[in-house]
Amino acid sequence: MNMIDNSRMIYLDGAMGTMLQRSGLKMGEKPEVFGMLHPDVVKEIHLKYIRSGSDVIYANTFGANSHKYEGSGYDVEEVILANVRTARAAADSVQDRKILVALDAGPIGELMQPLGTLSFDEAYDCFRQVVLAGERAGADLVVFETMSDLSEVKAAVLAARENSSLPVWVTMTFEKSGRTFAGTDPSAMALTLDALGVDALGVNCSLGPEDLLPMVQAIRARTDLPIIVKPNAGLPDPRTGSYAMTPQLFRRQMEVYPRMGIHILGGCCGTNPSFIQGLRDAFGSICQADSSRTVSSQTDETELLNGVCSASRVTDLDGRVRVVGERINPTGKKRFQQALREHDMNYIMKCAIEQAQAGADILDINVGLPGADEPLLMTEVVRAVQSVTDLPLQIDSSTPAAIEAGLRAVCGRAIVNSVSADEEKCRQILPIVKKYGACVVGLALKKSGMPKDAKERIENARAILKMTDEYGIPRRDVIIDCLALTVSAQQDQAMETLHAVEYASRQLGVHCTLGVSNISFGLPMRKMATVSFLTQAMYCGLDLPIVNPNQLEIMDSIASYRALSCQDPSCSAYIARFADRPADSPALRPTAPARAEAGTDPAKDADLTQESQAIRSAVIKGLPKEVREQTRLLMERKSAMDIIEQDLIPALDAVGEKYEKQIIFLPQLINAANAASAGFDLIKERIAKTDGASVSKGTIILATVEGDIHDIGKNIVKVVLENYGYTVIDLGRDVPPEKILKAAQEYDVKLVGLSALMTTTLPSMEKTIQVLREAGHPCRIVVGGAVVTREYAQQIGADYYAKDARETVEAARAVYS
Amino acid sequence: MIKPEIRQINTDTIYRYLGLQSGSPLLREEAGDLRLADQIERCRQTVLEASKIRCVYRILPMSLIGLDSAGPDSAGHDPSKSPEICLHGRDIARLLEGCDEAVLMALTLGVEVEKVLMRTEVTDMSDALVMDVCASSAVEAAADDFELQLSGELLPESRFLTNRFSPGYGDFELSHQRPILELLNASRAAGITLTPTSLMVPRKSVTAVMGICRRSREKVLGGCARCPLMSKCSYRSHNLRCFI
Repeated sequence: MNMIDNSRMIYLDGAMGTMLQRSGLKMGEKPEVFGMLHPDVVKEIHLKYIRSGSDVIYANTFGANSHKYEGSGYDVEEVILANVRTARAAADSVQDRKILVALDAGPIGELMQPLGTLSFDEAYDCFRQVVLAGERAGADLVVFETMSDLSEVKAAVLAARENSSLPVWVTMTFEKSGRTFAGTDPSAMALTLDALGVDALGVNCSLGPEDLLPMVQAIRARTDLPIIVKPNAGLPDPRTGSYAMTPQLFRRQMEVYPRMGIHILGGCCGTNPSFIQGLRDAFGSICQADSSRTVSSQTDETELLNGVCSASRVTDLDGRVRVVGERINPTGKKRFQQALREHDMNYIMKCAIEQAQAGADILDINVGLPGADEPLLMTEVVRAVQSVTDLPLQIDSSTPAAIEAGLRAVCGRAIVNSVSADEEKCRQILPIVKKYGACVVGLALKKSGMPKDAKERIENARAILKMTDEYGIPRRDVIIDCLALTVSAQQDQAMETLHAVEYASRQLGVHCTLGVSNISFGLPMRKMATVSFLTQAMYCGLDLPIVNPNQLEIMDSIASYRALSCQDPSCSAYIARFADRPADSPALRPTAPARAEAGTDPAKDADLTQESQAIRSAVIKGLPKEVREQTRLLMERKSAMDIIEQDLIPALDAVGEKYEKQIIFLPQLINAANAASAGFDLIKERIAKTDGASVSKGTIILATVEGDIHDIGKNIVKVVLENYGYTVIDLGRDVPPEKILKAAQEYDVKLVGLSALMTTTLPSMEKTIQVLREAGHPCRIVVGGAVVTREYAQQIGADYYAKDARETVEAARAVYS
Repeated sequence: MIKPEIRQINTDTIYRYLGLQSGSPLLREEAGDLRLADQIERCRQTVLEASKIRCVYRILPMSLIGLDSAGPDSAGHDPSKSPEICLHGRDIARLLEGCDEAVLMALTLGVEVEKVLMRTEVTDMSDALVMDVCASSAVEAAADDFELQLSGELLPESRFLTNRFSPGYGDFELSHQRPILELLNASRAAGITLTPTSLMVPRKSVTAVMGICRRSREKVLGGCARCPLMSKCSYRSHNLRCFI
């Protein structure tokens, strides 16, 4: 239902809360309950706005959701029904023009994961209930307003679109810094919401009209959907709580918006009917300028800036070279496969951070592992990666269910990698791409075989474009992969690929991607061939190379190309990258082992070999590179188990002893543990490569109990346990007892560690122990955390109390010995 | 409108949180350990750069504050007074005794710091610990600055601020977080939200109550007696207190 006439101004209403307070709403009383009990008061407010010129009134339902109403004694759906009906009655009482009723939904009021505890599914369910109740009550559209977190907005929009036919409007609340409290950037908001197919979007609350202009301009640059501007009347006074701006000043500051073609205007906190009256009197009913989608269909669509994004960062797709990091992919990587199987998100998050720091612009996410639940893993990995980087993602899978899981989990706008030129494949995947408004990679090949030359690649590309056109996916969102094949096997193909890239980018006008490193497979000195091919391909029009950003030479060549092709204005990025680099880069030299230091060490012990002394010294000093190097040397002569038992653990014990005696302190203990972990990692890598027996001393589950979000203590314990050779299954924070029990059963562990920092969450600890005991699980339980005492631990039935990480290791030794 | 800043993150406080006693021989020994000193400096810089302080406050006449010194479960409060907020407990009642106005305040370092902490916990747990400590000190520093600025505004009127007191201390229960944040419209105005267990997100946030009175008075503190951590407090075991 398209109810927005782009040629006419649409006036919204102003504040509801302040009007209600003036009409007798008490502090702490829920406005929606007040509205249900006093429908006449609320109806009168709606009528005032309608008389002052509002075309759309927001029902008094802003805070009505199941989370805010938990324990209130009121039924949310009833509250929504009552308030929407009141607005409906007010709207329908007007004869001369059509007044629309918006179901108004604000944020749920809790921060979403990973920073908060609210899950995407909980948010989705919460909004679904609101939308269903609002639609039943006769709302004409739904407005999600005052939003801060783009993930929450996504849950809201999907809940509305998947469960109702109501048009969806979204406005978010920005600070003067240009971002929301949760860090959402207006450009990212516009890209994401345009992709999700909302009907209008914009800004409300927080600031006066003038201060919102930069955010509105950023949104305008990314979308031609109708834009909503609903500002506050300035800022509130700390003594009175009231707002200072007059309707006249408000109107003057709003003048810029109709001139930009923005035609949905209203007011938020501190405004009242006279503000709306002022807008209507000044701007009339006909839109002065028009830049909306329906009217401007003749204009060049590419004027809008295209891009992919996370909530807080946009990577423009403007033809300039953007690096797609390839490292999150288990293919041929035993250690990565193991991490996926063990749900070791820490390992994967490290891969993500490393690539981000190396300069990746987009991260490819591939979790294809035989026998694994790919959609589940995709969701888990996407969320984990987005919790530690702000890079946009590329969902890499050929399984429709995994692709959809990835697109649902991702916050922002993503790329799907990939579809082939087979119609069947396109019909499976393109509807999903369209639904989530993603960009898509089209592989220029068919099931029937690899293309033999550039011409065949282009034919395949055209076949893909025919399908994307059919599904209404704009060309600017299509990325063609012309296939880089191994030059040592099919030498003639390298040039065919380059010709195809050139044609696709210049003639078909699409973006191009390539898995660049394939080219040099099987050759000596691979990076020479890879870098050379990459440079030529970029010149031909490759703008989204999929590479390993941790390889210095690759990133160097991209930096050089950017400078040479004027993509790097004034060569400033090039200069910044290379200014301090010595002519013979140290990164190209093998790192020198720290053997020299070994001889002069205080931890010297006559019985130890030189390497053992060196490793002990390096652990104590917290030098990971040295520990790794010494471990490598020792591995030539000793078994993995011996190194762990005779070198790494005694070194850690020595550090632990110093910590006990307060000779060193916690950061140094952790530094030492981290250094030891460099040795363990090397051993694990070797073992993963040879499929050798595990060196784990036992598996331990760690969790911060339900309701608690402070998990730094638990994480310290984890680092230390791991570096004593234990395998830790880290369930994270805010973990329900049932989940801990399930994991304990699944991994068949002998020890579960529970942490709680706050007095308010201690009962969860007790409950978790109860659940484990009642289920008859034989595990021992160790508890710790700031507020836990030895007495309390006993009282709630824990087997061990650990005051710190060291004592947890003692508990682990007692259990696994 | 007061806009608090982090004037400095006190090095002594950081060492104290990390378990080193200020001025002890151990500290002096450690001060010689450049690696720890450098680490602290680096982490402090990161936290300062990432902190984006948002602060909301209201100053209300005492007539709009409902006080109930008998504790949250008693029915001592007179509902006909219709206060904007009710505060329960002996400690808070004692703090606000004889005041004309009360200040309710909430401030946060914002989600930016949380994100940095989350990322650093993956890459370097030791840095993460030091940053966590720096961030906790930074919140306190910002709250101190708020007090300082407000005191400055009150001084010409010959009015004074009492101590700052926060839910979760003494018998002033953590459950006050919700009404205080709601009164301040803090989720909308500063992005501070609460979990169902009354923990603030972003975690590096603080709420506080202060009184405004006509005469300067000895700052009264809640003391350790009712602190849940008293039995295992490491400050106390070193004859120190967490409040200065």
